[in-house]
Amino acid sequence: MDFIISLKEIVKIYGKGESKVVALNKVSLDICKGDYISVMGPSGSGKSTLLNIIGCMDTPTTGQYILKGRDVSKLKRRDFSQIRNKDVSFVFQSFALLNNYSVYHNVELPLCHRRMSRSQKKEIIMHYLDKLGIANLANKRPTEISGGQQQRVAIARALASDADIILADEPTGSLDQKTGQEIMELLTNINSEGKTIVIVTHDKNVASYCRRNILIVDGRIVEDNISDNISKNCSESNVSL
Amino acid sequence: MYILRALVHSMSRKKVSLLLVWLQFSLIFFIAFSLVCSCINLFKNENEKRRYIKADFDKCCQMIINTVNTSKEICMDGADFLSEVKSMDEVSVLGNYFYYSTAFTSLRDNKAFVEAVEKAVDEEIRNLTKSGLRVDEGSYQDNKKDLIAQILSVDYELFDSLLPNTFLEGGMPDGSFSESDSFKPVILGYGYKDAFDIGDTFISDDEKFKCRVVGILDKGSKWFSENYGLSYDMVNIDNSIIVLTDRPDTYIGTTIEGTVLANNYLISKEPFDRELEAKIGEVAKKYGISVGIYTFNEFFANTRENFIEQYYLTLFSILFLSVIAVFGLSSLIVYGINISKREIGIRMACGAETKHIMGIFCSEIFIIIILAFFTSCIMANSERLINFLMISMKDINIWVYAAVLAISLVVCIVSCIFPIRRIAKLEPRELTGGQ
Repeated sequence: MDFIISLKEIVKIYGKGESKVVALNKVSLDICKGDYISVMGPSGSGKSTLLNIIGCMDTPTTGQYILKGRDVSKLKRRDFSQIRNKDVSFVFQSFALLNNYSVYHNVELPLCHRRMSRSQKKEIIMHYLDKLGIANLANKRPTEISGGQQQRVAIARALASDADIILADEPTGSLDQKTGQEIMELLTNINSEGKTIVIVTHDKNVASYCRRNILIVDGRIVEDNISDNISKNCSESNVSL
Repeated sequence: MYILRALVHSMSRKKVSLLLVWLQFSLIFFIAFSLVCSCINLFKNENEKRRYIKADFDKCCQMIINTVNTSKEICMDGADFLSEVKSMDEVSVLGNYFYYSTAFTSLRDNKAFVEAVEKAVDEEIRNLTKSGLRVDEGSYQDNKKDLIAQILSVDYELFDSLLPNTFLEGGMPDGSFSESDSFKPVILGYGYKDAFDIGDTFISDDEKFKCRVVGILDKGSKWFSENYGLSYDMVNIDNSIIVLTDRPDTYIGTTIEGTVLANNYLISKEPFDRELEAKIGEVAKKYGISVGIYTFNEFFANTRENFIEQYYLTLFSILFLSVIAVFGLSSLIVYGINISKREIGIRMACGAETKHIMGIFCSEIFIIIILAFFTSCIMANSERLINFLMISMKDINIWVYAAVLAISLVVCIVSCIFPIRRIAKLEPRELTGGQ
């Protein structure tokens, strides 16, 4: 099996008693390395919860989550931090940049806790800023640049960690159509370089960039359209509907 | 920057002011200075007593000590009074000690002796100046010319009882001590160690002190101060020549009105009771003297109790202040965390571990603590403020600084641990508001 992510019977319940909410209900999903996946669904369907669990930002109530062959459900908090630092990175709708820090320092965040020299860090940061065409903004603060540029900074930060998996939660949600397209093209390029990307979105146009589209309703996966060879060839893609 | 931002925030919201927070911690450390000073001094005094008071004063060591203030005339019969008291069946003499200053001009050729005397005089000038007294430099220069050295005359039995016998470089005093030798055995303070060898003899100008060296004291040796016999203050006797006598002179008479019977230690065979006190009182009356009678042991017992009480009170105060500081800092951190939840969440989403978040807050608190510490250092060293607050802060030495700094660090760590551990246990999702 060559799945980079494998979710088995994942259940996530918030609250207790009468206020109990089942966000994910026995979701099973396998994702191959290099997949480009969109997760769609109405509000409250459990898309973001799924993304949070994949990104180790949240833990499932029951079920098994295997990331790169490791059973994440058995890991400790400290290992979760390391996964978020090295294996998975995020791009948020509202960019999640630290407004008190410069663009450069925002991109540096995932590298802060790694043992590498300042010059090495600088090399990595400037490489990605350059790649995303925002090297000239390195010393500016997020509040001084446009939304599209801020999202590029967020993507640069995600790339700087050199994680194999990039999780994007409504990456174009706060952007105009044109800028949104630019960002999606950027993510498509990144995917073509071998990164696995999972995007949560409401927007069908955004989903159209992806090669695999998952529809989630009431915490269950109800549709999984695979239109590329990666998932098909990865192995026998096993998706529970 | 979290904490500083919290402070700035709080200032703008007028909840607390930066100045007040700063002042709070500066004051806490300032008080910590005085408490640590007292604590160390108390501990030191306690240790010194244990080290030097070797005599068995368990039941019956008594003391006639005080100034006879009520005497209208200078009493010339004090020696007789004391002699009569000493001759009582119930009383035996433990010993006396007195300080003299005597010239040794005949020792001008002894270079080491001259240097030691000059050094002693210079040191005395320095001490007097330091304690704020006016110093007649001219007369001290004369002291140097005349080679006036300080003599501490101590009854051998008293010396032997109060000091351990390990003080002599040359071992125990030899048997010649009790010989009817015209030379009195002397033990040299450490300052005179190069001037003579054991067995050497020398004589003072007035020929009152014909000395034969029997030993040399260790460096930093101390003896009771010359301010009345009961004083537990110890003074350095590195620059003194200690003359051991088996028949000590009685120090009677002063130039001021009244007579001083100082430094006469009497030991009674029975516990000092009212009957003996009355008996001594009668003798004193006969000679026109009124005396204060103190029980040596009781005095030290009371002092020790006071010390212990003071010691624990001081420790408790330090603990109490530290707890207040922990609460103050914790609330500051909680506020800092509350306005920085999103940032902490983003950092954790990027892989920061609990220890990293802890490190950020600890380092910021550390900066505040260190700044407050230095402010308190300035305050603690400000004489005017100390006088104003009437808090004694003598002897602020490296250990006091180290102790206060150690307390600061403990406060820093303890105040960070709980709020940060609590916040770090939350999921990043909760901190970023579901982003």
